[in-house]
Parts: sequence; C-alpha cells; structure tokens
Amino acid sequence: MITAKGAGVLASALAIYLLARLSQVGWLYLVDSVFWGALALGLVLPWLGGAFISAHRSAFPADGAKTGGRLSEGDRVNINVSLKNRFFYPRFFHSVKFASTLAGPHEAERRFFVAQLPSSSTLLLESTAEVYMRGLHHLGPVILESSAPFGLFRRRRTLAGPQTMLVLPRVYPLNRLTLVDGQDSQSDKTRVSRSGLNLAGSRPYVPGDSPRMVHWRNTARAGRMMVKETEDESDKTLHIMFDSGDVWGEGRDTNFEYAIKLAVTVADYALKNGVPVRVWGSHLNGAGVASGASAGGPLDVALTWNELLESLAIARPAGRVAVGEGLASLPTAANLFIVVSANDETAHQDLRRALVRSRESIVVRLEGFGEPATNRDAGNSPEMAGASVLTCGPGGLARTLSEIENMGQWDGSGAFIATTGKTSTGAVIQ
Amino acid sequence: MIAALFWWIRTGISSFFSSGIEDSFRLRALTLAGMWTGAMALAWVGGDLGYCLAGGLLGTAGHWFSYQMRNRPSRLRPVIIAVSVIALSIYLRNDMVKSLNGDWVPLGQYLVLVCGASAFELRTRGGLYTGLILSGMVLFFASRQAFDHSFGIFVVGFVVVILAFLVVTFLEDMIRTARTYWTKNQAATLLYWTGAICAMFLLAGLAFWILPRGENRVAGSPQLAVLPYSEIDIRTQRSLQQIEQGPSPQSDVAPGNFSGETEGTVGTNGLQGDGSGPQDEIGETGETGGTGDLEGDGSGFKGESGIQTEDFSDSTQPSGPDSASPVYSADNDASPSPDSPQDLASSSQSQSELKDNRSESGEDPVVFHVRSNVASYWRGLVMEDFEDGRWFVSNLNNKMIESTSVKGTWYNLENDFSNADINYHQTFFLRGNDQLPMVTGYRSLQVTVNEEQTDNALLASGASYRVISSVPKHTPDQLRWDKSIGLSPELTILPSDIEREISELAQEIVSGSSSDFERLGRIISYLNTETGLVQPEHTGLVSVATLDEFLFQGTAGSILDYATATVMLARASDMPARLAVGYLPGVQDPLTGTYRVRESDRHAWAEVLFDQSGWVPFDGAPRGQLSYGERPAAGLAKLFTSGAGEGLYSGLKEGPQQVFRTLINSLPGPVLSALASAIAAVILIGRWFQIRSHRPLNGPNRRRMSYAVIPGEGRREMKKLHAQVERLIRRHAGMPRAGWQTVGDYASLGTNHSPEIDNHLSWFTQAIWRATYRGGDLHPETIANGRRRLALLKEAFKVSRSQRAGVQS
Repeated sequence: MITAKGAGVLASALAIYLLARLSQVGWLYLVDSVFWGALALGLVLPWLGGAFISAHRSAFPADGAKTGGRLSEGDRVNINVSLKNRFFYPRFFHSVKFASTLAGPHEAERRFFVAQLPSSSTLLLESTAEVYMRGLHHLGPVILESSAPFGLFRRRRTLAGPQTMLVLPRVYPLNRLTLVDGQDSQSDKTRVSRSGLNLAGSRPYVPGDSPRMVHWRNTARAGRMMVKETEDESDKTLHIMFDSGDVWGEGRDTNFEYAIKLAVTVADYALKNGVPVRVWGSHLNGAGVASGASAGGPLDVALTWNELLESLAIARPAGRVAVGEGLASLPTAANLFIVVSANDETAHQDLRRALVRSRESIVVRLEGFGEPATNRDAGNSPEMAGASVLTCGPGGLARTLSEIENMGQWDGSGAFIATTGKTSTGAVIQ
Repeated sequence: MIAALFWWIRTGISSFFSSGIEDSFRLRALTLAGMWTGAMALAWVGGDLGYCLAGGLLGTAGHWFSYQMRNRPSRLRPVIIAVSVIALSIYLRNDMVKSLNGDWVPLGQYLVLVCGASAFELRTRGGLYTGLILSGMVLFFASRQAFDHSFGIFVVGFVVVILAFLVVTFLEDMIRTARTYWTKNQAATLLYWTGAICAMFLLAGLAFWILPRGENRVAGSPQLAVLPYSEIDIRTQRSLQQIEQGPSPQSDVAPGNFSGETEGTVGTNGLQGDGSGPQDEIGETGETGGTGDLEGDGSGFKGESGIQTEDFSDSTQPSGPDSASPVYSADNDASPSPDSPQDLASSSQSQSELKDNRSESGEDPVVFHVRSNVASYWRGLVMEDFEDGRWFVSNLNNKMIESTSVKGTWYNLENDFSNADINYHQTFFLRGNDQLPMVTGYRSLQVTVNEEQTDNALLASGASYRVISSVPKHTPDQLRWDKSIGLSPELTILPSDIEREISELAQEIVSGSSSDFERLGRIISYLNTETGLVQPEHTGLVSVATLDEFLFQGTAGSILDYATATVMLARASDMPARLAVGYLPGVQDPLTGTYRVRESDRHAWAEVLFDQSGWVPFDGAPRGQLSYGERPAAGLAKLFTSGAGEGLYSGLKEGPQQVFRTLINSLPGPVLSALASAIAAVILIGRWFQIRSHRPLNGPNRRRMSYAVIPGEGRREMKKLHAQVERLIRRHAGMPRAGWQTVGDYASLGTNHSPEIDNHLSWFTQAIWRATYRGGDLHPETIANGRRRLALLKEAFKVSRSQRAGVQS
C-alpha cells in the first residue's frame, strides 16, 4: 500500500513529468526518472523484503514462579516475539508491531525496528509491560511492516494471529476480617442440623432455589415466586455483594474496579480461613456472567476459586439497574459484605432492610469517583441499621482495607474449621 | 472502498499538516541544503546573486531560529512572515511580471526570498516538505534558462538531497517510538544501500527509457517543423508530408523529395509557412519586429553576417510608411554609397568580417535560444524591393500594433487570434554579443517584451521575449488549388537588365504546370539541379554572384543567391514573391529543451503570396547541405537519443503484442547488458549468502507447516455440549444462528422468560466462552455440571413447550 509520503512523491513525479512535457526541459525528465526509479524500488523492495519471515509470540508473567502462571493486575508480563528469517538473504529495515492493551490505554501499540535480520537466523524481540488492569486483554496480530528504503510503499504481513490474555483482579493482602474471624469463635454452638431450621420469612425466588421451598401463600400475595427463608445458625457463608451498576471514574480508578478489588480481597481472606463465600455481583453482565433476567441473583454455579477470579476478571458493568432487588434476595441472618456506590439512593432503603436482617455486616460506600452529588437524608443512611459503614474514594483502597482490618474486636480464640460444599442456591466457593 | 480511500486521503493530509514538532536536525539540514541548491542554481543561470545569497542566508538563519524556537509557538511570527512576504511581493512586482514574458528568474528570486522568510516559522514535517517543494520550484525556474550543461551539478545535488531526505525520514519514522535493534554489521548495511541505490538508478534508467518524452505539445498533432517548401517534386505528385523534428540533414535529402522528410508523420497541417489570409495581400513585415523602428533596423546583422546594413540602433522612431531601407545586396560588387544612408557594404568586406568574428571566438557563437514546441525557420526581416542587385526592407505593410493597455505587447493584425486553431508559444532568449532585432516563428500572433525593453528598437543580450503563434493551416493539397495573387507592384518587379532572360527561363521551367504550387516546385527543382551552391560557412548570408551569373553563366551562388533567384523566377511566373531572412531552426538541446541558434544558422528564403493561404515560404537552396534541427547529442544529452517511450505509447493503441515488439526492438545493447549484469549480480550475491548460511535451502527442516490445535478434552467436550444446546435453541427459536450473532445473542433467543432456562443458557454461554478463550483445560466438574444442566435444559424446554401449547389451546 502506498504511504502518504509515497503519494506525495508520486504526485511530484507526475507534476514534474507534466512540466517536462510542457517545457521540454530535459533536466526535468532526468529528475523525473529518478523519482520513478525511487517509486519502483520502493514498491518492489518491501514486497520482496517481507517474504520468508515468520514470527512467534509468547506472553508470560515475568515472575511466573510466584504467580503460578496466572496474571494479575499490576504484575509484569514479558511479551517476546521471535522473528525468523527463513531466507538465505539477510533482511533489512523491518518494523514489527502489535497492538496491546495490557500496559494501559496509552501504550496501545508496541513497535520494534529491526535494522538487519541475518540470513537464516532468529532474532528475539523482547518487551515487558506492567499490566494496567484486570480484564480480557487482546494482543493484536504480530504485523511485519516493510517500507524500506524510502518509506514510499508499505507491505504488511500478519506473522502471528491475535491472542487473548486474561488478567485477574488484584488480591490485596488482608490480615483480619471481623466477618470471618468472629464466626470462628462461635463455630461449635452454631453447628446444628438443617432439620431444626426456623422459618424466618420469605424472599423472591432466585434460580437454583428448591421447588420445595416455595412459599405459596406469599407467592400468591406478592404475585411472583417467593420462597421460604430459614434461619440457619450453622450457615457461616459470607455473602459478598457489590454494585455493578453505574460506573464513575476513569481507567482503573472507577468505583466498579474498586468494588471488585474489595470483593475479591475479602473473598480471598474468607476462603483462606475456611469460610464459604457467596458472591452476589448485582447485575453482572460480563461475558459469560449471568445477566438480564437474573438481576440480583448470585453467580449460580459452583465455582472454584480460580473460576471466581476469572468471572470477576471479565465482569463488566451492566449500566444503571436497581440494586435493591439483589439486596432483597440476600438471606436472613447472614454475614454480609456489601460494596455500593454512594449515589445509589434507591438502594439505600433495600440496603437498610437487608442490614436489619443480617447477622453481621460491613458496608463500603464508594464515593468521590465523579458521581453526581446525592441528596441522601438521614433516614436512608445505612448507619441507621447499625452496620459498619466505611467510605472509600479514589486512591483510598489501602486505607479502606486497613480500616476493615481494624474493625471490631472479635475474640479470635479457637480454631475455625473451613467448611466446603454447596448450597442449594447460589454459588459456594470451594 | 470509498471510505477507505477517504480515510487514506485524510490520513495523508493530516500527516502532512501534522502539528507535531519536527525535532530532527538532519532533516532540517537537508531542507536547508535543498534551498541553497536552488538559490545557487538560480544565480548560476543569471539570477541576481544578491537576491540568491540573501535568500540563502535568510533561510539559514530562519532554520536556526525555528529549530531553537520549535517548542515555543507564537502567533506573532506567522503574521510578521506574512507581512514580509506581502511587502516583498509588492516590492518585486515588476520583476515577477517578467515571468509572463518567459523570464522566470525573477520569480525564482522571489521564491528564494519567500522560502528564506518562511523558514523562521518552520517547525513541522509539513513545513520541511513545503520548503523542499519551494526549492524544487526555484530549481525548475532556473532550469528553464539553464542553457549550459554544467547546470547538471545543481540537478544532481538536488536529487541527492531529495533521496537523502527520503531515506532519513524513513529511518526517523521507523526508529521513533520503536524499540530499535540496530545492526553491528556495517558492511552488510553498506552493501544493502549500495545495492539499493544501484537498483534505483537502474530502474530510473528504465523509467527514462520507457517514458514518452513526447515530442509534441501542440494538441492533436505530432511534432511540427515549420519549414519552407523545398525541392518539390511535383512531377511525381507525391504528397507533401509533415516534416518531423530532427531529420538528418544530409542523408534525408533526395532529389524529388522534401529534405528532412520523415515517414510516418503525415499530418494535415502540412509544411508550415506564413498563412496570412487574404488580408495579407499587401505584404507582411510585422513578424520581423512589429514596429517601424524594428523593421528599419538591420544592425543586428551588421558586422556579423558580413552584410552591411544601415545602422538604426540609435533610432527608436518608426520609419514612415513609405520609406524603404536597403538592407541586403545581391550584388557582390556593390559598395557603400557615400551619399545614401542605405549604402551597402561589399559582400567581400562582409565576408572578411564574418570570418574574423568566427576566428576570434573560436567557435560559432550562439545568437539566441528558443524554447518552442514547434521547430521553425525563425523569421527576421522580409524584403520586397530589389533594385540594382540590392534588397531593401520595406515597412510599407506594417501590421503590428502595440497594445494600448499592456505596454510591451504587440499584436499582429495579419494573423488574428480568431482564425487560430492551435497556438504555440515561443520564448526567445537572446545570447549574442550585440543587440539584435526581433525574430519570431511563423504566423505569429502576439509578441510580448519586457517593459524596459520596449523603448529600444533592439534587444540586448540576455533579453527574452515571448511570442504566441498559431500553426499555419495550409497544406500541399490546399496549395495545389490555391492561386497566387499579385496586388502590389513591388512584388512583381524584376531586374531590368535581365528581365527578359529571367522571364524566358521562368517560362521554360514552369511551362505545362497546372498550378502555382507546381510552378514553384519546378523552379526549386531547377535551382537544385542546375545551379551550384557555395557552402554557407564560406560565405555567410551574402551574395557571391550576380543574378545573371548565377542563373545563366553557371556561377555557384550563395544561399542568398538561391533565395533571390527563387523570388525572381516566381515573380517572372506572375507570382508575387519576396525575400525572407532569418535563421534555420538550429540545434535542439534535449537537456535544456531549447533550440540553440548560432551565427551559422542565418538563412534566406523566398515567400510567395497565395490567395487563401497567405505568405507561404519556399526554400530554393539545397537544404540538404544546410544544417538545421537536431544534431548528434553529446554528453548527457546522448541519453535522449534513445528511448522507447513514443513507440510504446503508440504501441499501446495497437495492442500488447506491439508493445512487446517495440520493447524488444528498441532495447539498446547497453541496457540489455546492464540488465543481464544486474541479474547475474543478484544471483551471485544470493549464492554467496547461501554459502554463508548454515542451513540448506532444501531439506526436511526448510519449511514446516504448523497447525493450530485446541488442547484439552474438557474444552472439546464442552463444545460438544454447547452444540447440543444450540440445537435446542434452534428447535425452540425456529431459526439457526446467524453469522453476526454471538453465542450470547443466540442464547437470548431461547430464554422465553423462563428463569430456569435463562439460568442454564447463561451458564452455558459462560462455559463455552471459557472453553474457547481461556487457556488450559476445563475442570472435570464443570463438564459434569454441563451434562447435568443440559439434561435439565432439555426438560425445561419440554415443559416450556407444553405450557405454550396449553396456552394456545
């Protein structure tokens, strides 16, 4: 393909030729011929120079031994391209490039300039990037570009196809969490059989609920499917819920990203301490994550920790949807860790109701991400329910985690035995 | 396609006008070098050295300043530069007007200064390109007046600058923002660049060879040569043919044919002459200079040709309409008459002067250069009165008038624009040592001279003027039925002493002819066969025999004698005729594109007035012994002697076979040798690299095909499960999955507002996505979960269908 510079030279060659025709100045014919010669060479050499070259790209964490081969936000990743000249002629002046969003939006393209590729040899092009944020990142195809010697024409060859890399959300270290450590001390007395459950109320049906638990009377009253809700003293599951509605902020400093980081950090701590975790990503709409009709529902699959991480890695916000329905679906007398946006006024009432029904709860309010100012009155404040409410703003993640660590003074004596298994509804993290 | 083209154009334009700061010092240095090359080239061809140096120094300072200030944009600087350029335009307005008359040097000087001034705000890549383009334009203006081959130094210099600029911009663009793996093997890089440059010049030579360098710029016809009719063999009734530029002076001459006749160039325009219409009956002198003062001045020939004429150089006033000035003498014995200002010098004296001039200069000096698309006999003076063996200039029929609105512009009333179909431009650059009267090509319409030269009858060396002419329309066929007319008695006067002999001879020659054109052909044939020519380099434009001696006593004559005899025999045949003096077309230099006319190209010929065609030139001298048109080129100009461009261009009209045949036939030996050598060199160098290479060209490891495989049983199993899911959806939704639909899009078709189905489909969407894109295998539990969910999904669909059937019933 002709480049802008080539088009300029071509136009110049045509102009000089016309001038030569008009004026019959022979010097112009000579100069014009040089222009045409340069154009012809610029057309042929890139076409020849790009042949018989192959490439292979590999991308792996720079510290793969520590991370177990997984790539998390903030890790360093090596992206190497081995360029091989299969011809017995050396090659000169090639450009190799590929698009990548790993290092953030400002480094969308990685370019290498290879002055010489010796005959029948391989050259390793190395680059390192610090992963900007979680998500599914695409490494564009490896493109070889030849435009030597003048840059008048350009030939592009795709040497390696596109590649996807999944970057997991970053898990911050957490030394203490009252929601987990507190259950540890009461483990023995709450271990009762399921047959002795007391009816605590009803809640809307969510996928996965047993048909035997349908509360027919309330279903008839409410006009939608309701199920019986029991108070299970032995259920130590930590319910983590975050609002995935509106997103405020830019890049990785958004309320949604902060919510995922908080959720995954808390989940990691709970699982390490043997407490089952149930993640309620309200309105998760990421690729492969339940969406639409299952608003408010949990990730309705039994996932391994890695699968949960992957789900959260690809989670995307779903736009402005009500979080209240999801809050209403939370079980009674459960331990809750909820992350909500400060400006979601409609959720406050449901949040207060959910907190009243909960056993223990921590609420993190995300604010200062550029969201519009709220008109929150005292009646809607979650503090009214006696919950522990923390505030987190941009750059305040570490401080918030520190505050979470320092919340409450539960007696941590006694060993807590981690529970594994599945619940009838929702996902229980093993 | 259109969108892509639009995007491409937009990208190109935006890259050219990019506001990105250009930090490369190398590119600035190359741009500056290009500007200096243009400025010095302009000075070399006669531009004002002060202007050129000022422009170059201004540009140097501007580049330094703009480089230092490249990161400090200012709104004031562009304003100051714009004001400066406007002021410069006003100051040099008169100089730039000269370019309209063919003198492009002042415009080049102006551009050099503009280029220098604009360098003060040159901060971007687009600015550098603009600077180079301006320098190229300056070089182009200079090339129009570069009549010396030494100008090639600047052309080569500029080409080197351009190529270096292209290479440096390429490397700068590649290295910038890229991680660079530079080579340590400088020898290989040097070899690459050497090969690339050699290949480029080889391709440039090929391009030069196949480019049609076309010889004619007059619309609709090939290159014309406005030459007089000569050696017409009317007995054979051979069609007159257009003479193409560049005939071989000697070999093309054949009895009964036109000299310089070239096959394959037959055109309707025919040989050219002065196509004055009926209104030209009185005569024509306008093209000799337009005004009476020019007409009456023959000083340009004084002391050069040996034909002494009256020196009117001091007179700028037009002569009276009835005055007549003797200029040329056909009498070699004529001597200046002391009591008459029109006295003529003897031809012998003139001859000696001419020889002296040549010996002093060592070579034939150039009188003027003509840039013209049409070769022509360059007409100077015309003479109608012949008395006592002398020719007298008559300005009786002055038809040139000066424009009242544009000073320095003259119009020829004999040939008005309304009758001109095809015009061509001629620019004359005077280079002689003395002042010269004006000459033009045939059928001139308008003459424009520079303003400061309009007050002087003669044009000084270095002057230039521009002539617009039209291609005469008459053809041989037209002339055969046309008739000559005689309205002015001066045009039919014969020498009284031999009037009877001439008339008898004319009757003998033209008896039995059916047309005036045929009569003239016979006269010219007679002169060519029955008389002898004294070589012009021995005589100049002088008479060496009286008319009586030349026609009846067998004395060899000069060119002037031939022309005089032609005129007199034509008059004796009742055809009004007159003498025209001027120059042969000269030598066309392919490098400068101009006809170089020398002293030795002075010539004389006859003009005969026809009723419809006006004045038509006839050359009675054996033209084959005269030099005109192209001569064998020397030096770089040799390149222009070969080429297949025109043949290929015409071959394109006939088909590919003709193109191929033309290519093979016209490929010169040296080019073939160069091509063969290049191919051999490539093979040898390739072999050398192959030997150096450790890997064999052939072998099992030479090329391996690789196939993409999807590892992992779990992933494949999940895909199978999902295929079954899609079948269920298709059965439920009633339509297959479209190409544009993602897995999730298609799954949404099967939801049917059933939470259970939604749940399963969401899970499968997520699972198949993972199976496709996630690295590593799927967990066995996930596969088991998938099987279980598939069974549940089938059941849910079944329930949904039964419920729907129940509602419908």
